[in-house]
Amino acid sequence: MKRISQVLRILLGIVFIIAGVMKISDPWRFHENLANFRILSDPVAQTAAFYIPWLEVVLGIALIARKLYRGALASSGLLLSIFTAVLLSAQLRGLDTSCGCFGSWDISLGFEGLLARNIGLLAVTGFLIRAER
Amino acid sequence: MEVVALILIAVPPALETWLVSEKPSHFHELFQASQKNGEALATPGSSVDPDTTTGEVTWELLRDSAIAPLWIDARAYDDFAKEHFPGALSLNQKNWQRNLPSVLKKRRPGTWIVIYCGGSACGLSRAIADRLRKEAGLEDVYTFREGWPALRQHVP
Repeated sequence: MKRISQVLRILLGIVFIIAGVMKISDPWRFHENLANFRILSDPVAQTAAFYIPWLEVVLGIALIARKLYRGALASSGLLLSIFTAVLLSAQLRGLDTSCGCFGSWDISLGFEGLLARNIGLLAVTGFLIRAER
Repeated sequence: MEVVALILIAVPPALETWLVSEKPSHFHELFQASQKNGEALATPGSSVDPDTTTGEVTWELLRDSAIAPLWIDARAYDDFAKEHFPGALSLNQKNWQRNLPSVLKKRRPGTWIVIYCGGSACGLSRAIADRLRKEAGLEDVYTFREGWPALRQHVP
């Protein structure tokens, strides 16, 4: 159980870091993705486009290093929940958009693929939160 | 408290990234930089003679008339992501639904739309041009005859 938690913790951390770095490399494209969801105003979308990727990197590092660990788990769960909610909202409104979470890799995933990925990551986060209690 | 600390830790690098990031540039700035003797920009149609039969324009035509169009890249998104004309928007058959609102939002009334794709033999730009005219009801939609291989030479 402890070994499984360790492996999942590190994997989750790596996923967050990769996601963050890919968006940091092209923040204006992430900004365009956010704008396409038609939820945020442009100034807020700009702020989010630059801030969220760095938050992901920080969370990834915190998860791997097991520093501020409980806060990192809670924040990861919250962030993933928000991403999933936004994705579902876009689907319900009939918007054809990718989340841009992993840059151009997202283009090849449809709504189902993105949803499955997010739910998987949420499940991992939930498992780690439970293991930490 | 841990959550607050993590949120605050991410602020400085995010701010720095924003400060050093290259904001999306605009085509009209390129034209203004290449203007001779500070001549004012021409209004669309005043001295431009696009090929009305094929709906095509060339670089020389746009340059000589100082037209600052809205550039559209009709190639696959992966190609667009690798490199594209500064300020161009991606709009192709695959991302049509997703990206059309951005195009409509960015285009000011009277601004030309010029679409390019992979080259003079590429039909993607003509297909997108047709859709913009028919489905979006836009006028002043043209294709860039020589395509990206010729256009990239003019990227600073």
